[in-house]
Amino acid sequence: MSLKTEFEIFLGTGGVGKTTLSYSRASALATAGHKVLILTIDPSKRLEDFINVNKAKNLEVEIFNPEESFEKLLEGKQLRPTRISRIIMSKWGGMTEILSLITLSKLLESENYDYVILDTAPGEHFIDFLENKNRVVNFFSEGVSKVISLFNQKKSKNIFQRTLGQGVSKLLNILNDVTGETFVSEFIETLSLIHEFNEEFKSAVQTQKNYLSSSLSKWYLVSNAEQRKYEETISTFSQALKQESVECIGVLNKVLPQTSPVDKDLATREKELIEHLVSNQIDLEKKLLTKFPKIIKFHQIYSDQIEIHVESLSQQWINYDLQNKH
Amino acid sequence: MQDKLKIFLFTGKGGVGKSTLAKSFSTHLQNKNIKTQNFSFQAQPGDPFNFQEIEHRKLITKYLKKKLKSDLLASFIAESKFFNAIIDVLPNFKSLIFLGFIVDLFKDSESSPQAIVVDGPSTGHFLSLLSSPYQFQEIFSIGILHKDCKKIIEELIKSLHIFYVSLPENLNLNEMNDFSNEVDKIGPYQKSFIINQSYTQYLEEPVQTSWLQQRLVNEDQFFKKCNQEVSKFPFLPFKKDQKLIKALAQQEFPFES
Repeated sequence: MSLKTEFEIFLGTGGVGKTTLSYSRASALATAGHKVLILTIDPSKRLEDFINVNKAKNLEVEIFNPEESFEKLLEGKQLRPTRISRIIMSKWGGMTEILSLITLSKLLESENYDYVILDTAPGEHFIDFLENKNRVVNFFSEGVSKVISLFNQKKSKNIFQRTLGQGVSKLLNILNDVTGETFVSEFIETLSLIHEFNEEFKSAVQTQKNYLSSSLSKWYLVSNAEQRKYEETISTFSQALKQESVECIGVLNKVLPQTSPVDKDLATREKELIEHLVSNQIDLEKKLLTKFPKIIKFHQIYSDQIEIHVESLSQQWINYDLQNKH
Repeated sequence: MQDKLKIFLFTGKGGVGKSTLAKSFSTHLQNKNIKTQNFSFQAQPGDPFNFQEIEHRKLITKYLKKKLKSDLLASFIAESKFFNAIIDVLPNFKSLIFLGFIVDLFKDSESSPQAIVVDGPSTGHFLSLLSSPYQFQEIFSIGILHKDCKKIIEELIKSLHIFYVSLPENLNLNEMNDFSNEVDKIGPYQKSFIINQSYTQYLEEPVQTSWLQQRLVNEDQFFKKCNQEVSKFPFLPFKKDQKLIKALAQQEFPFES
């Protein structure tokens, strides 16, 4: 893994154009000769639509798949999944963010990239994960390990541990009624299985600390100039990002081609609609400027061809990089 | 509709107007004298439309109290490390408890609403929510929870109606179809599609502004390519939420009453 790898992470709610923007960013960087990896964690997997669009040869596209990545982990240690582990590691099982970091750290071990572009899961889910990165560590040291050790200590003579042990068996008796007898033992079995990957999970957290939250990373919060009520989202995201002390850039996507003046002779509804869009965009831009030191604007593209979107946005990225050099 | 309770769940990508439409729909039902109870996964404090925030932890303790018929035992379990490990390892457990809670509203006879409107989570998390009773039915192969999962699924299939909200942009077509397929894979649920913020539904005459004209052409193409049967809702240039919600409440919402 190269220490010079630059990370660019794209955040935003669904529908703002996050995947299109991050793919065109990756495409622009790769065209400029850099070795680029783009990884999408978005379970809606929109990146699939892009895989072969204007693909430069040094661009690697990875679509994260939780089932596959857990299977690889198991294979590595020659372990078998439990019934419960299969369910929680599935697409809608809720472990995606953590598993995606494991996938990322494995990819980083295997190859030297100049740039890694991350297209994150939509919405505040990714933020939850950021804020709870210690959850993984706690999970292993406080949660799973403790439960496992409690079960191993049943025969212990230490009075304190024995009391704990009794507490657990009482709890288990009640739980058996609620969850069915096999659940508890299967659940413990699953915890032990997950515990085998203690090191992998911890190193994934380390990956995040070392690289994603380092000075070599840039976080883009993507907003859509047409979207109503985006102000709150901007506040939530910028609040969470502040704690990360990373470079954050506000992105205003789908900017109108012309904002002023609105032609007075237009029909009433047409005029009302344009005025509404313009004022919405101005409000949003103001809000972004109060939260981010730097913002980038991307023009709305009036085409239904993905290729044209990628081409035009890549060009806008190249222009942005050129301007930023001076 | 009068004696049969319906659960209406709104979903779609972020920013498509889910919350606004859920509120409009609730208003729409109230205008027809249908008593509603509203919940939101993104509730804001002081919301004038009375959408309640969903407090998962409280619901879990409440559920345990009911099942174990003992406050003491329920608190004992809810506070135990082991149980909390279960909730942490199985994030969808919270979703299951929420669905169980909603389905249970059927039974509280007198105060019960005639319709429940939920401003749901966005697409991916919605699918996690919907699949949670199936996952847990499998996880808890026997016992009270297993039976409850089965009950939840049966009730939802009878009474759940899903509103998927999208914007009329070509890049959303695949996503709409994917969503529809994913829901069908989970179970036989009633669902309908609302295409929100349609410019063609708002503008009456041909427009002069060229980029707006291009938008209208794209939108027409979107509707032509749409595989699903959709309801078109207009874009309305209102700044105030309340005004927008009231105006949209006048629309025809696609569901069988």
